[in-house]
Amino acid sequence: MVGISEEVYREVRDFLLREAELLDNGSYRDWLDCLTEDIRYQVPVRVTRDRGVESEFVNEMGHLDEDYVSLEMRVMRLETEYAWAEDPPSRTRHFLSNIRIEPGDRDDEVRVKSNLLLYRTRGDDPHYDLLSAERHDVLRRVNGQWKLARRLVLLDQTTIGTHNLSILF
Amino acid sequence: MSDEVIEIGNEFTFVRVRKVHTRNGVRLEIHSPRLGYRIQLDPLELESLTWQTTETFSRFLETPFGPRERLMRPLSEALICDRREE
Amino acid sequence: MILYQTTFGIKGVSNVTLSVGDRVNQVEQLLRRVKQNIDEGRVPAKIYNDPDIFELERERIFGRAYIYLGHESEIPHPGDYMVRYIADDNVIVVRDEEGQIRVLFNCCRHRGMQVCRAEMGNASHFRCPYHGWTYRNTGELVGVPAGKEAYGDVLDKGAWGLRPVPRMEIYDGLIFASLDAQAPSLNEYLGGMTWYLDLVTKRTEAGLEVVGAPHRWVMDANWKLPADNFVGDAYHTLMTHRSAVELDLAPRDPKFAMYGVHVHAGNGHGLGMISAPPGMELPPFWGYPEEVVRALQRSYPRPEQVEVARRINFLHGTVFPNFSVLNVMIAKDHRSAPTPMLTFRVWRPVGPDRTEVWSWFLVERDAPEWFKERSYQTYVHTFGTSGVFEQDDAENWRGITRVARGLMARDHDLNYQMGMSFLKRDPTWPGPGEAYPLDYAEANQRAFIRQWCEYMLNEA
Repeated sequence: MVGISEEVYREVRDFLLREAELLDNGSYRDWLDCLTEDIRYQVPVRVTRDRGVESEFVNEMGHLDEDYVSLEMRVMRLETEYAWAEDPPSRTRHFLSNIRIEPGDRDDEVRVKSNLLLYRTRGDDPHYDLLSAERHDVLRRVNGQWKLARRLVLLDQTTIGTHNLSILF
Repeated sequence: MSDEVIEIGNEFTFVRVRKVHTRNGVRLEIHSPRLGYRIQLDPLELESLTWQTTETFSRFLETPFGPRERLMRPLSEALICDRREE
Repeated sequence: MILYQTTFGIKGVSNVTLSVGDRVNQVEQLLRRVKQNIDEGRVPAKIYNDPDIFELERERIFGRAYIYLGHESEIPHPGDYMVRYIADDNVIVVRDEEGQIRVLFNCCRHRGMQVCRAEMGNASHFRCPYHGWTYRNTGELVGVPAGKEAYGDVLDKGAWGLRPVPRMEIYDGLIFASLDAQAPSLNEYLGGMTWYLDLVTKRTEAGLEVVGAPHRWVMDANWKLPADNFVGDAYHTLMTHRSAVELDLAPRDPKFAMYGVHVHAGNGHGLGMISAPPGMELPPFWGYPEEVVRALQRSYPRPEQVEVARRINFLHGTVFPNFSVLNVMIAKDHRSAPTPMLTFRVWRPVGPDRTEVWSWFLVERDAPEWFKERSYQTYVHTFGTSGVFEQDDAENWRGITRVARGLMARDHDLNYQMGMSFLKRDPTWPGPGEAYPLDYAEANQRAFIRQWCEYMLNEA
């Protein structure tokens, strides 16, 4: 891991784990505090293509394509009394692994790749949905704290196997 | 002297295309690594392709794996050929 | 009646308590009751989750009706193709080398392998991965490996091309197909609905364009619930979408969706066109940018369409059975002004309690770039897989589907009576169909169910 110290590695890993914990606990306001104001948060649509095509991801269309304000809007919505999709809330579990860190474009940034397995279940239905993805993040140090400045979620499914994305990756 | 190789493919096959410089001129080489065929076309031949219809190519494809109809080239052969090419 | 028995004969294996005959009788009885009671505004919940009804729908609805496959702009160049579905049938929608659009059953004529496995691509010829049979993108069989040796050169290639679907027609860029060779023309099928589709498809000279690829996701809900919602349910916005109203994404009046016209356009197709609520100013023509507004005044075929569109801020509709349209002005977040956006839907049935949603975002090809971007963001934040409106709809549809599964649902009538006795038709309405001057109505939903009954009882 060229240019990344053990200390930075530990800090970044701790940040990602804490951030996942906030999402799983439904602490969305606190999660917003983990983001930079210029965050770009994208989950592009994927389409099955032949091996020769460079990428299966469709740049022009996202399942989510967010900035800070729209993420704040999604959180504010959950705080109303009428967000039926998440009331009763989904029970989610973010499983993170394969964390890889590289130096970023700026001195105060690192690029982080991680694998995500997201478990979701609702109500008394014993069935669950699993979403698997690779996340490409950019973390930036702001006033001594790591913040999420960019997240690109590369899903493994083209047809999403859950009834909506009222949850976050 | 070799120019950049362009790969062009879809879900059915792919080919490599490159400009090949001869001592006195230039040709366009189309190479099918899967089937092991290769053709080098000069500008006149290429030009003649421009007035063909789909019918011509449908006729070419009457034998979808080429005239010899080898269904697959042994991997070892493919590896040797491709190395030689580099 | 023969089809009916075949269908149930296959399914009957899994049922241990009832004979095939019992089950046929049960469905038959239920359908007769739906047909009888719909005039009183009563529909048994069971139609929203029943394996026998679903089997019959596959045959009688999806084997006969026109199903939306995609938009011409998704395959603009010769050789562009996409793989789509008519319920379970997998088809290749391709633009051939001459520019003609064809819909071919994606099943090799030799041993039935799926010929195209990528969801989209470009090819002049398709080659089957099983034995290499090769077809031109018109469907014509051109090549068979070892043709001489294996078939002695007597294979009649002309007889063994990829099969086109029995009927394929395009209305203003919208590609529809039917598996029924006896189906009426698409124009006849759509009937009065074309007048209203024009409001959406004919706004500018260059017309609509699909951006990127559709959102696709699977929800554990019956396909008729979203179709019913889009065909006429303005009423749900006040409760289901209350969070969006509170966040100012939609007009501040929770009953805003009431103030519109509710139109049954015939053949089960229907829509609602909603204007500004009283005491609220909303821009004319959905708030489209002036370039688009100027264009539509020239592009719409009839002046009455311009007058109707002038008052629309929200439009929702369904073409029977499972193609829906939503064209609404809403805000992309709580700090932005409302922007119009357009989405097309297919509610693809995959089970009595499972639907694959296809959701496209479209925008006028010749609209200003800033608008395209804003409209796209509005779509992604509000509708589609993660949209804050869409999320709550899915929750309701899956809940209904869950409770409709049991025995109680069989004689548990749902109320379809809204506007039934007191809401009078508007005789001055300039468009086709039956128009009611209030979108809190269920005439469209009743008409949809009637049409569904006619198909299911083989009377359409």
